Amino acid sequence: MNKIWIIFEREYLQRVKKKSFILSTLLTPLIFPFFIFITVLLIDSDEQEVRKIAVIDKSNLLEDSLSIGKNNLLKSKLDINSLQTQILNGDIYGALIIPEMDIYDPKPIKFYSKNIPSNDFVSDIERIFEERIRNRKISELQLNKSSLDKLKTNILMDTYSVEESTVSDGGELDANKSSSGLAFGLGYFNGFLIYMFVFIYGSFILQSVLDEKTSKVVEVIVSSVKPIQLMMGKVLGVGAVAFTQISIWIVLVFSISTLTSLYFGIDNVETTQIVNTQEQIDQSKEMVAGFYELFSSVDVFKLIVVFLIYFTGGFFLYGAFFAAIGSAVDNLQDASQFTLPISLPIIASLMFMGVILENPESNASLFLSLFPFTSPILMMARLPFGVPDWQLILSISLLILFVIFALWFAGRIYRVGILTSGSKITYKLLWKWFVMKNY
Amino acid sequence: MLSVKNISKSYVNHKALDNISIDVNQSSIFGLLGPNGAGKTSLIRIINQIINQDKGDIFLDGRPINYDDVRKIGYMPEERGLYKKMKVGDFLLFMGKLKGLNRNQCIDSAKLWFDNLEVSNWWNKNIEDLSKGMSQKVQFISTVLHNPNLIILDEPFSGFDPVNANLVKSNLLRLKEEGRTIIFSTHRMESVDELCDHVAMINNSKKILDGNTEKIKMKYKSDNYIIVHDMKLKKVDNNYSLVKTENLADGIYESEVSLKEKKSYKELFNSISSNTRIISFKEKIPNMNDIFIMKVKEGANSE
Repeated sequence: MNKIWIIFEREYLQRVKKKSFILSTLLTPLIFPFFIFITVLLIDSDEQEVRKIAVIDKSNLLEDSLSIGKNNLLKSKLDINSLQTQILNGDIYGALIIPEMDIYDPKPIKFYSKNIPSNDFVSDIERIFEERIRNRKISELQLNKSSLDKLKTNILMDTYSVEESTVSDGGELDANKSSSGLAFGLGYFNGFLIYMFVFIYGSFILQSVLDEKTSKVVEVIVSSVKPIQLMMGKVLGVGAVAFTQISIWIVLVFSISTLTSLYFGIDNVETTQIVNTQEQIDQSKEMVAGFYELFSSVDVFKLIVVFLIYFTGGFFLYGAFFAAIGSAVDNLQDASQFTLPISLPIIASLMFMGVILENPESNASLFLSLFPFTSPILMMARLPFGVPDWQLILSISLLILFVIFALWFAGRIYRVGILTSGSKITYKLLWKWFVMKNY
Repeated sequence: MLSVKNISKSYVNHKALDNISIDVNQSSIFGLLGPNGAGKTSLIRIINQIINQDKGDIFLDGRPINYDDVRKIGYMPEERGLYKKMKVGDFLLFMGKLKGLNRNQCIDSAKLWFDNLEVSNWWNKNIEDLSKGMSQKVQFISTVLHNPNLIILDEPFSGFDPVNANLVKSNLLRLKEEGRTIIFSTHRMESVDELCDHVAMINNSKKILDGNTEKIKMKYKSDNYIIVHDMKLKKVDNNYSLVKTENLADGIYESEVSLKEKKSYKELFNSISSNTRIISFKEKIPNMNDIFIMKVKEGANSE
């Protein structure tokens, strides 16, 4: 145990002290706020510039001039050919052509511009004309506008998750508010985080084992340490580095996002949206408030504990295989033919994640979140939707069982692999190493 | 001190060791000789329990060797290297800790060995900045850092220039005087004559020779004599046949003669001194290199 600790200590300190580790750990969380910052700046600077749009309105739906956000719509008497010249010269941003139409059977309106307009622009313009036609219909049909407004209804459905511990309170269940949107986001985030760390740090293990083999330091070490101890120390050491990095990231991301939201304020973000009706602002405010309410309803403690279990389990399961591959091959090129089959379940997990997030309770989801090679990523994706305890326990037990098996399996390959170089590695040879009694 | 009894070992495709036994005495230097691929490294790895034997036992001081004993061996493998991205001091600390030393013991011992190997204090040097010879010295220091009683070196002199090789040799001899036991393997024989008290030779996974160095030399001497004299020798004589003669300078010849069967060196001496003045007269003792080549060729012929 003491020796595993010495190996662990060296592996950990060597990696953590590296400049590349310090830089990537400190800078990566800054990248996202940085991009957001840049985007906000760009949108702000865009805002100043007013886009002129010429309108040929044959149905007479618009007033002479109309300003929508940064778009200035001006009626024009020119023909389409001279407008084309103006568009190409950059005098105007585009030309909007409204054909003569029957408002009860509208035709498409046309927009000509040099650049393809954004989706927001298209929907904004469409919305304007829908509103105009609606208003015209109201007056032509002589309807009462206020009665019509009363027809408008907005129903929200709140979803709640019920547990055995849920108590009824005056005829109502005091259940936690749930949100499939939040669950989806959280599930995706969890799964992706584990995917990323298993992949990146798994290949670190491979690289580290391979380095010891090619620099020939390994035999010096195994004269005082059993190969399995060396392997365990290494996997633990690299794992601890991953753990350190993710902890720092979590702390940094939380503090940076708190700081930036304090600095910018939530209102500031809303003004950056191009067109905002009062309705939309209300909605988004409601959403933000609801989000915080929901987030506090998630059992954060359970989430973190389960995350750490799957994070560790997934890391050990794949780390063991990566260590075995690193010990067997002589260079990184040879390693790729063996890392591909090992990586497949990880990549497949990521692909299945969408399916699982759509149908968290299907049989396929159940199977994939129990199967140890996919469970670290996919159970974490399912977790925010609520998973029965027995499934969680079964899944974790299976994972632990497979981790032990993987470490034992990898250890048997490893003990032969680290001392063998120059032979062409095939699956048959690996199998021979595995079953070899005395080595 | 160390005895290896009837060790056999097979790999997937071939037999590496076939019923090998050796005995190593305390406070001696034991040479394990053999051409490349003979099985030396396999035997050394088995003694260090890096790999396991198929058959046979290893005893240390009369009892079966256990893992704690193995940990105390100072072992320098043939395939040796250093962590490139570490400092010399960090590496020596790491190796020392694995051998059970604490930090201060490591530092003290390293200082002592830096002096012994006539290098300045390299504690803070980066390993990737070391030359090949320098890293060999660091290897050696990491092997003997914990003051081992038994030292096993696999091809210790490869990678050393002659000056540094001599430095290591004199240190090995000093360690022997201090009572340590040293086993080393080599396929280069120059060092064997200077260092080894005892040798064993392995070829094609079998032991083909084992014994005290001087006794082996006596056994394999061919009754040839090297004589320096001032007049030409007779080509034909009852006592000897002339193997070769060389004119070293005006009136000084060196000749190798082969003593005929059942004749003694006294008869040879008398016969030669009867017609020339003998300047020097000595028996030609084969060096380990001659014996090695002879035995390996013998083995190749008998197959």
